[in-house]
Amino acid sequence: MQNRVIPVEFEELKSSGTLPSPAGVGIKILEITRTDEFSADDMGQAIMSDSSLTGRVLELANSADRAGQEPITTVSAAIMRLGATTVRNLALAFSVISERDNGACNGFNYPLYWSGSLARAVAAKSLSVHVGGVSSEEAYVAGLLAEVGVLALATVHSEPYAKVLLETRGQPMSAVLAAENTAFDIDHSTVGYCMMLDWGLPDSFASAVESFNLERLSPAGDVTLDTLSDLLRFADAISSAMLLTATTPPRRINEVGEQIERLQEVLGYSDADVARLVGQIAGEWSRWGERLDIATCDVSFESIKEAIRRGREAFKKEVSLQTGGGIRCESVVADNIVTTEDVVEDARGLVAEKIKVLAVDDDPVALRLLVTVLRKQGFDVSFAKNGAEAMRISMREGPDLIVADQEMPEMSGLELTRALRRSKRGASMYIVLLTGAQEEDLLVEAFESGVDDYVQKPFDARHLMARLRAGMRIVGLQRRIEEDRRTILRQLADKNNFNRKLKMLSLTDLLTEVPNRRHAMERVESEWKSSVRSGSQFAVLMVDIDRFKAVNDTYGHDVGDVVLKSTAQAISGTLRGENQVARLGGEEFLIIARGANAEDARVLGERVRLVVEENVVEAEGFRDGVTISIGVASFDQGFVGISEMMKAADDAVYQAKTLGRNQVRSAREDPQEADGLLARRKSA
Amino acid sequence: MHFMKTSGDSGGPQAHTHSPENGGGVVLDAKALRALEDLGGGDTAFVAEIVELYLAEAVTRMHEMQVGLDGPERERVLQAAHALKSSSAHVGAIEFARCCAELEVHCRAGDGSDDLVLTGRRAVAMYGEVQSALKALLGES
Repeated sequence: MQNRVIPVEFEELKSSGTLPSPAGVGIKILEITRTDEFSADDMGQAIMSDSSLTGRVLELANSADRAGQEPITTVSAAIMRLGATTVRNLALAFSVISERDNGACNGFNYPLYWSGSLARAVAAKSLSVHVGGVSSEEAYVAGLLAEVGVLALATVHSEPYAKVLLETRGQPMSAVLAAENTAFDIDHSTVGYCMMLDWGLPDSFASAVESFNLERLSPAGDVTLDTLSDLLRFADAISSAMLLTATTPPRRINEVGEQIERLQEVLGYSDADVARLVGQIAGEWSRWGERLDIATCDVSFESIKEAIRRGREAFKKEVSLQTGGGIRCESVVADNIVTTEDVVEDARGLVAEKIKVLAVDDDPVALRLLVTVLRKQGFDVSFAKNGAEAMRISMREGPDLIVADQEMPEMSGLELTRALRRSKRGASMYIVLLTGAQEEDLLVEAFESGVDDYVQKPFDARHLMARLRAGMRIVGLQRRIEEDRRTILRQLADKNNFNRKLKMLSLTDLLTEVPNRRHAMERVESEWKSSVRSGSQFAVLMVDIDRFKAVNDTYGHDVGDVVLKSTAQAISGTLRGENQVARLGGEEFLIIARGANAEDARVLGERVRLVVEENVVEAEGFRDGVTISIGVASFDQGFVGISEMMKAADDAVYQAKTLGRNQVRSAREDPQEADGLLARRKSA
Repeated sequence: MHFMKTSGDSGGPQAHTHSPENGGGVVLDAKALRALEDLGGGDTAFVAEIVELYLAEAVTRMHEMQVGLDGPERERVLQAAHALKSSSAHVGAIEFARCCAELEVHCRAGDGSDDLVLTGRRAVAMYGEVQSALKALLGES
């Protein structure tokens, strides 16, 4: 859908400032490519300023499915081959990944989220090569970002979202979407769609991802592989199958099984073909996992089939016993991936106060001693044997303190410090350098690189601890600041939520729960301006319930209220897309139909009239239908202003009433009259 | 473990033999060994683990040093001496650690190969004593 209005709920999420977003080079790329006429050269330069990003883009551009083509060695060549937009999207997706961290939402399985996203990306890419139609890079990016809306809700609304996840554990995705809407008035499919538009990804791409999020709920029966959203759906089935854990509900395993069978059918693949496909996907998943430091596991089609078989047995048992979930089938494919249960346990027994320390030294003796000293002090200690390993662990675990040796092969303590200070996560870590020499130049360089303190080697345990205590004080202060920041953001989100609800109440008719007159007139004004600006069509349909006064007089106002509510719901249920009904007051409603000319509006009016006529209203002592009279006025009928158009619709209702009620009348039944009015508007 | 008993030093690990390679200085420093024992909360297995780790690592480092001295390859000697300097101090081989520090200084200063090789040979000889003393502590002698 083009030019869809971005909902205010998304703007509120965005204003929290905590939505997952590209960072560093990603931000630069966003700025450069904000307009359609961006310079591919500028973008290429921006990508090349980040060597790891460049490496990943080139690796994807040279991947096996492009075998036979000349290898690409520069970003500009990648842009030539794949197109600037594709390279841009790839760079943005990788940039979002590089900023990932295990956020504050207890109960949200961050490691599983990233493992699943990567598996889906790789599966989508592979499938695109097998079936054609969608470019493999586009499929990869779509797979990677397909559930970014979930991540966004977990990030912005960490605490309430943890509650949503706990309450909907083991339930279908529809329950999660409904719970999200109840809690935040927006769900992850809409959030994801809006985020992608916000990053400048094409509407068609964002819509395909949104469709995937909504359509994965329905059975796989009629799905083919012609569109990106179908492709994503099957890729998701494969990635889900690769990530079945002991806590995956049998219902979900059954769904995955059905989707895999359907995929086999669509592709015309035998078991052996699918086994080859899965093997290829698993291999690439593992390779990319290593590069992006995302957990993967060894998977075979055999283990998937066995897990699905057991899952289905458990599902049958669940259905026959009507237990509605709760049966564990232990269908494990991914045995080294953190299960949701582990995450929930972590959330429950959160060791909030333990300070995390990373010890880094290539000398095993020093490292062992360091770890012993730190553990004795009650720190939560992890360790690395070199700088590169330390960097990976730091990005994954986010230690509060790092004690690193200066002299290490490949990546020294100083190089590690510089790399950490360049990243968002590493910027706030407290770094203590272990140095053998007390050379002044080295120490000056160390502090300039971002080291917070140093301790001479061989270290003395008491001395080291005295230095670390200073670090702990800083870490404590940082934690307090972060806690305050979260509290403020949560209060801001609550305030926004409250204000929005107040605003919504002021624009809603309390009896019928459809928008009120104020809302209707704001919308008419906005549609009018849009039509004047772009020449698009819109129409208003004035609706009046026939003989409503008689209902009130005969059955009382309580029954009258039920009639109003029921009629409003019947009309609302008939409308599609961006058409909307509002109650103007009394028994009068207004339908605003975007994109409708006079004829479209008349057809719509007739459909609404029929639905209301067939709608049986049930109230105490009353069981009957009511009818409505409708007056239509459309922009293409040439009205000079809103008041004239509204008055014309009102007059048309009057005509319908006069002519016997229960009918639709258009404001300008005579086309010549409309032409005359159009000429009048042009000269006005 | 028998090495936790000392002669001539009350209540801590033994200040071991004297080194002919270093004018009769001690090969293993009792104070450093006691600090190591304290660090492990008095657990003798911890001290043994550290010593074993050290000995295993030192095999590679000493080999590197020897190859570097034969070259001579200053950078190779430097890396080995630097690594041994701090880990040796942790297991009480203070004099050997000092010798490694000296060797590191020669390497960094680009001193003539004679100085380098002489100090290097002294380090190799001293390591032999350190190794024997540590193995004796472990009860492997």
